Amino acid sequence: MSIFLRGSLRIRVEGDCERLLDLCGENNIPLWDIEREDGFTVCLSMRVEHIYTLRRLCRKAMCRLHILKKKGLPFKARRAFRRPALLVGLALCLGALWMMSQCVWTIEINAEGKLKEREVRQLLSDAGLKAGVPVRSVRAQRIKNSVISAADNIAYLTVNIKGSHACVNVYERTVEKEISETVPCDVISGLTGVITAIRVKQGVTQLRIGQTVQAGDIIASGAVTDALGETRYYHADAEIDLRTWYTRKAAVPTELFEYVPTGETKTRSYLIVGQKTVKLYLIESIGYKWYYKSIDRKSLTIGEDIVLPVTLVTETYTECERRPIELDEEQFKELIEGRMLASFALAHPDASIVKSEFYINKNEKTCEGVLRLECAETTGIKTAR
Amino acid sequence: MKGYRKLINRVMQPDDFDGAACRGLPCIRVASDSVVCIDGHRGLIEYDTTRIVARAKGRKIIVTGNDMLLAAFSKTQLKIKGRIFGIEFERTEK
Repeated sequence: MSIFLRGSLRIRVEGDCERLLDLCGENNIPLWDIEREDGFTVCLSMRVEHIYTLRRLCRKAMCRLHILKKKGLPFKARRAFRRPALLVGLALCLGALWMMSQCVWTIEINAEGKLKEREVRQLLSDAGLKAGVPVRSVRAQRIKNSVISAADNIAYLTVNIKGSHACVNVYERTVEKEISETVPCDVISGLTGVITAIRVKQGVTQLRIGQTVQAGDIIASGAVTDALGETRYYHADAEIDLRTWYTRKAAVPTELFEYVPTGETKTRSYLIVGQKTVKLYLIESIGYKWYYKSIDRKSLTIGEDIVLPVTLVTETYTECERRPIELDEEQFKELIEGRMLASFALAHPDASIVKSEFYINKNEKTCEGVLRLECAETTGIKTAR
Repeated sequence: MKGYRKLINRVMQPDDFDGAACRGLPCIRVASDSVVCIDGHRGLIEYDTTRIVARAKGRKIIVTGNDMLLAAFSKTQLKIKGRIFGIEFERTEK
């Protein structure tokens, strides 16, 4: 690479070559690819900067010197200097590249927990971090302060700028559920149901087995009044087992369809340059009635860090055929019940189902399922007094 | 002083590459029968495609082979490529 940048020469030397090579060695002239052509001739390569010294040494060693080939950037650049438009184009291209590398073009958001990337992106945009802003104007500390003060559910965020790529890690604020054991508190019920068991480790309870509690009712109180009538406050600790009942309803249309790919596909591409879209297709309509769509994005990058604001988006449409699905009553029941149980398990992960009852009401358009569940659950939420 | 140094050199033959380099003696590296690198040479005496003779401290290094060329040549280093048959040393009288 260094040789290419500095330029090199291929030279033929006639005469006492050993003497000349010795002199080159003494004068620190590096040579390579020295080939003996015949008894008096040698071809060699050398750096262009040593040519004047070599001419002098040739005279001293009584050798003749012929330049066979010129290689490297200085000779190529000399040729390019004769074409000013090419140079101007190159300069403009390099300038544009440099200017584009000075801006943030891609923002990667790593959001934890329930934080939504869209909301974080909007907050960052309001704080001044969006695609197209100069890297120099991005102040990480200011963005952090602005975003944290604007959103209650964000505990912390980090902003790292690498080239034209910004990486933002957002951490969700989690409400501290555990109350310290030194803090006086009551225990309340989080559910409604009939008590099957009570376990009080500390505090006073007024509840009995078989009694009904509602969500928010006190299970165990931290306030204890002694024989003298003096009230002291403790950290209550208790939990109750409940029998709870739930009724859920869900409906699906009686006409169900499946979409089977026919094998026909169409692709269309477009370029996103900055905020603008350049269509690379002429026909807007896809022509398929039913289709699956997949999107592939490829950004123009230099190395890993410099992402240029040019993205090629390729949309692939796969044609589908819509076919009706014939289901009998039993299959409908299975389908709806499965969905409802999955949805219930998501909402109540700790509930164990003791008894379940399911039936469907089918009419012309919809099929409604009713699920009744009897569950065993445990509750006990500490709340500070 | 000169005699003393000569004696030291004779007694303490180089036992590793660093020792040889410190005393200005040539170090030769050979890769199979195709590449020979001579570090610490002191010039070229003869150069042909079948025989290359380099000058070194107190001796000549003779490399014989076929289709040989000097892949690199600098003040202290010499790299020979080709089909190498042998490397010989010839003591030179002072």
